[in-house]
Amino acid sequence: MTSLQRTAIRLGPISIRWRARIVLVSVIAAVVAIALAVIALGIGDFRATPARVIEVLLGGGDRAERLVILNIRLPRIVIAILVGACLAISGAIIQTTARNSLASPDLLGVTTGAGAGAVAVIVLGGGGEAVGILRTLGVPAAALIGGFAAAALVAILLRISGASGLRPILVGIGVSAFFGGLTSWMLIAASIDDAERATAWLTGSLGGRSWPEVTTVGIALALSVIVLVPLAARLPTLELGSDVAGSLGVRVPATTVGLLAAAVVLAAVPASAVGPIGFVALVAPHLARLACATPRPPLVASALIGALLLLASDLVARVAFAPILLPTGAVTALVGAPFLVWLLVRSRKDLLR
Amino acid sequence: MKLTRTPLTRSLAAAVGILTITALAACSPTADSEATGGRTVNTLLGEVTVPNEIESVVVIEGRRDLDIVLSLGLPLAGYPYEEEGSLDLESPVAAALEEAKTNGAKELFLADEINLEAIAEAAPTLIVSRVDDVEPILDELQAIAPVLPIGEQDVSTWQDDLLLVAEATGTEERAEELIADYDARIEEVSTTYATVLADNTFAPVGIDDEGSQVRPNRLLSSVLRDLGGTPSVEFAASIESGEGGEFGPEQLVNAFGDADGIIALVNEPTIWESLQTDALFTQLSAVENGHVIRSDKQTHEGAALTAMHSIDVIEELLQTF
Amino acid sequence: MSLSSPAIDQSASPRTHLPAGVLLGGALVVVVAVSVVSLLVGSRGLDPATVWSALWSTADAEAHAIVVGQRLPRTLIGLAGGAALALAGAVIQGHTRNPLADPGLLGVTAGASLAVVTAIVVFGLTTPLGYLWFAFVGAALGTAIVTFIGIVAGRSRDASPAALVLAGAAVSAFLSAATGIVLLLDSTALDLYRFWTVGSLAGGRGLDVLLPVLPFIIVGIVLALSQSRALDVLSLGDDVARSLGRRLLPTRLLGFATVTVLVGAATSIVGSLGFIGLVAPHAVRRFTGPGHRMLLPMSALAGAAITVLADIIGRLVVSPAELPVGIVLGVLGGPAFLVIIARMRAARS
Repeated sequence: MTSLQRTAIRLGPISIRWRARIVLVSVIAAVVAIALAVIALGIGDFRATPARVIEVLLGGGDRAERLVILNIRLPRIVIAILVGACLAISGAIIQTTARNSLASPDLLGVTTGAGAGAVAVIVLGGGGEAVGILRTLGVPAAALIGGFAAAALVAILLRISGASGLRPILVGIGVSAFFGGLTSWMLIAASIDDAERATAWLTGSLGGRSWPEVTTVGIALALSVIVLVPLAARLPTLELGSDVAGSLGVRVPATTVGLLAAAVVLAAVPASAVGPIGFVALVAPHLARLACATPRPPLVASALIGALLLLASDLVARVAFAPILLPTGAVTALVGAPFLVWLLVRSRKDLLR
Repeated sequence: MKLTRTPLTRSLAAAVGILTITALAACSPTADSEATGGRTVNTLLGEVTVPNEIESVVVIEGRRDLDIVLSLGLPLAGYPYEEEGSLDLESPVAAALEEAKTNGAKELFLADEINLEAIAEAAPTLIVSRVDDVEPILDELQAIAPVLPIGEQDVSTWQDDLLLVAEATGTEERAEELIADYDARIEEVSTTYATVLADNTFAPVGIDDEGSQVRPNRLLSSVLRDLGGTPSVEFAASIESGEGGEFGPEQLVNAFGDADGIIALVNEPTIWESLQTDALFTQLSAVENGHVIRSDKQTHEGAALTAMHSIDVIEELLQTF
Repeated sequence: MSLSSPAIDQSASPRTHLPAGVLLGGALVVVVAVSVVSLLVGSRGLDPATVWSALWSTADAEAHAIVVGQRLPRTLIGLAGGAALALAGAVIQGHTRNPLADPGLLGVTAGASLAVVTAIVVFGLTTPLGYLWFAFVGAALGTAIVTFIGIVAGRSRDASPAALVLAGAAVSAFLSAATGIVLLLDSTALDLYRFWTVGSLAGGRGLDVLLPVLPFIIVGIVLALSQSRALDVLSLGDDVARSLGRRLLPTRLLGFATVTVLVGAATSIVGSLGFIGLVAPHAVRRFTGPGHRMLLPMSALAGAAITVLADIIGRLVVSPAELPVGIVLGVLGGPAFLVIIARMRAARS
């Protein structure tokens, strides 16, 4: 049911357009995510019922419970939510700006570029002394540079060969392969210790990450959101095509660059914190779009669904083969890859708008 | 569309919301530290206070930390294990570990796959481990128990780390004993085999599918140096540069052909077997003259127990001369 | 519309109209030259005279061990594996009318790797002869999935090469994740992991690894060459092929079998090696044109040469250590892939 009525909520100078279905989906996603988070906090070697978990979160519980739930599991849950949201927003932006529903930062080589950057720092930065600061600042910075390098490479190549149809994806796969090769080379040429550290990082796992990583990702998310809110308001206009948007007064090149830059940051920083986790950026926006029945993925709904997806994947990674912890990236690949295939074999009319 | 206050306010509101959530989450209430008094030591990660009464200790990396805890006689509660059957040579700490197991030490998780919940379940009074492993999860570990970070081969000597842990746990006497025993044994072996050590060159060579390597600070390497064994050319080069030397499969004879005595560090029994008939390996002058002994990665890293075991291994080699 | 020109660029008619004999001869010369260089060159420098005498006598034991014990088997394994993978790539490209098809990109190699890793971890089989049959099954599985997707995606109006590549990327990601998980369950196999994800010609694998597998590679080559006619006809489109009297199903099955045998055998001896199947056929298409009678054998020769060349590079770049051939191909393959895409006319995307 499409409605031409635009309802809006006004609170003083702030007005937000209200589209019932999007809000509904967002709320449901948020509620399910929180519920899943509470349940996940109670699952593991040490079990706790959701009621107990909530008690602990609110300040109760004995020392052992608080230890496991608040100190061990909570950082992991929070980072899953933040990373899922970042990746989903990144994917949604890229899909809308590229007008190509198969575009996603992992397929466009951004995640691999970020990986190469991070590995370069771990391997070349070397030495155990500056590990702390190097890790918290140096690795995300290098990952950002790597991600931007990959994005720039893709942009240049698309300029040369044309950006129609699925070509961006092909270029992305090529760029991804290139940076992947570079990463492998660095790993082999590195000293044994550095290589171990880098390989462990590359596994795309949420384990062994702590509050510093949470803070880094949180800050990246916050900053990107600040930048995005004005830019995202122009997304519907951009969707009409660059000519129309231009004639409507939108500065198309600047806006597009701004949006894509935010998308790269939102893909690269989580990659630097937890390693490359694929398919969330692809799947979450699609699910959001399908659930909200909108022509393009709504950002907030995508973020919430992305958080939910990654939370669920991480839970599976933790419990599927307990006590062995699977890398979360492997779980998202096992789920996301068939989804991608399904997208491909559906009628291709949907893919390109 | 002019950028009015509206989008800006919205964005600020959104950002504040996200930052608040993150901040709230980040302000994790940490476990209350019981001020029962204890010993404070200076470590690689700052000052650490260890309680006077140590009921149980957990180690996370399984090499130097395990060795130190076992040799000092501290009550071991949990340690990481290697996959069953992956190494065929006996571990240098095997005997002490068996004893610890009868006193309640448990395998907690596969080496390299740290499981925080298992550690929490073991509820130790102290955690001792390598700084690289401990640092990323320091907050979580500190909530469970005080964490004593120690170094590794390129960072600190095992004697320093042994003394550090001893100072923190009040077992200095035992530590001094262990170091004195080691020094005495070194003295013994280096005097008995003085001429062999002086007249021949030696190299500890790691050999695997992809080639060979030599590293100057592995435990076996440093024991060899302590004994005064003359290093072979590549071994000396790596000692000088402080970094390991890596060689492809073709380089074996070129790199280590000059060594008179070789300790081959081979982890897999299948590779050791195939080396016996390998054309290049059998051409090494050390191998031709029968001056080869095998060890594996369990002597790469460790402390007092492993060091004593390494002396035994090297003595076996010296006896072939 | 099936009469739409196939995805492979028809404007790539042979730039040089050389007779078949010259082309094949030239390719053979290149292969031999590369092999000779491979014997001469390595992280341990040996001068040509030493290499030559080492081939025939054991006087210089070290040189003999290096040249005959290491470089010779490596070269032979590289030639066999590279030829097989290149041929498999050319066959897949012909059957799917997709210039971007490659066993590595399409997940066929990943399937073979997964099967082999499972064989090693679950059944403890450690010799190539032991896990060879698993490799075949795995390659068959990968090929089946990709074929299925190719058929379904190809039903739409303009079958895009990109869709198949993307599907292959998804299948590869899936199978690699599965491989990683299987390896996690048995950490002793972790040392093997690098071989199976990256591909290498070293590792002390000698002729005892190559010889059991060689018959299968030969069978695969024969099967592939027997399809040149069929592939030419297929390139005109399914409908046209049918109307020309070619029965599609047996042809497809034959192609399926060929790819399975070639990729399974190659993966058992060189591990998971990508990009050969993509790059070799493209490199030779400039000289041979789209006709498969020449394209197939030339691809095989080019694949052999490229693999050994990559191995040589790997032996020299970080001397005295070595880079596995898979990494060299990975670093070079990415840009090569991009060049191929760039050269594809925009209309074909």
